[in-house]
Amino acid sequence: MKTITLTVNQQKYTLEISEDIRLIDLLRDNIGLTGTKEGCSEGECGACSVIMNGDIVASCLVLAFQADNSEIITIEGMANLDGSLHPIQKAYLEEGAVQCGFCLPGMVLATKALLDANPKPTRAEIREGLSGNLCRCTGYSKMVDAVEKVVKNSLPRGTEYEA
Amino acid sequence: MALENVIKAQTLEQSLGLLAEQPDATMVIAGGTDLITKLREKRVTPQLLIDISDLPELNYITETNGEIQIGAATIFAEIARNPLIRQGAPGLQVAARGVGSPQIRNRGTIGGNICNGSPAADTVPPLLAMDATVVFQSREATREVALASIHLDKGQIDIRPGEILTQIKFKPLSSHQGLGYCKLGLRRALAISIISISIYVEVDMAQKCTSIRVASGSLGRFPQREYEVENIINGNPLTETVIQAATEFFGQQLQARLVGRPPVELHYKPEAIKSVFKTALTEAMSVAGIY
Repeated sequence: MKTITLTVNQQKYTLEISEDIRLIDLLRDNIGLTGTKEGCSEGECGACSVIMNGDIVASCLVLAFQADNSEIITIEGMANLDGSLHPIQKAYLEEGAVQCGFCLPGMVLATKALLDANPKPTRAEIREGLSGNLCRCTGYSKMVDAVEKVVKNSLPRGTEYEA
Repeated sequence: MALENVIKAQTLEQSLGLLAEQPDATMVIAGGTDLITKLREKRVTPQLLIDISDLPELNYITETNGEIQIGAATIFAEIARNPLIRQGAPGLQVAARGVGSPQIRNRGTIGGNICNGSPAADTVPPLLAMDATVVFQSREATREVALASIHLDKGQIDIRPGEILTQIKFKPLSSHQGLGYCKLGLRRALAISIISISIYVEVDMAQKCTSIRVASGSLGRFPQREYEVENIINGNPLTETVIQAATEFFGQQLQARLVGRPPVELHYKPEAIKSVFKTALTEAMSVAGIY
């Protein structure tokens, strides 16, 4: 067993873990945050995506001990403390970009990571930012619309933005 | 063997020391994007795993003494945005930008890409085209060898017990030199390369090719130089005729090389290579100043 300390959604956790578990196992099983989904177990679908030290990563491809002293944001950390939704979540709902919902946690976090790094992306840049997240339901275009909407809403009135 | 212990390394020296104690039962992990799947499938069974991903001694991109040096644990995302790489080896930057997905690029490393030994490794063809040298360190010694010499077989490189790949280095492009890259995959992201080509070219004032290196991925057991294709172009003006001759030759050579391979390779790759090759060469030429 190994003891590690990490921050998840701004809360510090010190945990005793098995050497071979992955970050996704730690989040879902040890902490109980089941919003992060396991889709393929080999980093090919993006369903398990979380933000680690500011970067979007596949939590099925990080061993838990590697996340010692790291800062993690999961989907549970996106909504506000009073339960109101993050603008990204609102936009996805408003644009009809949600069907079964399984890819959504990873997709929303990938969106956040994209916009944190690039606040005014073009449509092509949006697609590239979400290119690690597969969706079997929607065909992606409403998701791109949702991200465009987030950007438009975030800009001061009258700002030029052509996605 | 079950995984008994894991440790986040503090220094390279510590890592090499631990690796030297029981080299057969110890492995290092950096990004883990290849290794974690292997671990879970029990294709590798180390007792001790050393995390080298955060070591400053392995995370850098520098340019000194007319050489670009890349720490082996540098992630693809860093290579994809680094200005030294954009200037000195643009084809390598294009390759790094196309690896996997943003998630993979934020963890996977150039050292891991080399050591995993896949015939489809995205960064190896550009590094071969740049005539890169790799550095292996063990507790006892340091070994510098040409990247072109380390591939033994599919999935197998010449890395000795107790060694860690620590650095990749090459001479950056100067004027009249270019580096191009083209990858063909089933889709534009999260795609293993079906064919990849990287070409280094040097031209003179009359637009004659004075030096060329062509490296391929997914056309053999490991990424390799295509010397016979190079010979058709080297020393000749880069005209439509010469390029077409090289392209046709490459297609025919592949036809011979892929005899016995599944139909998708035997019938598809000798045709598909033509546009991949031309795209990589056109890009190399435009970097070198020919349009």
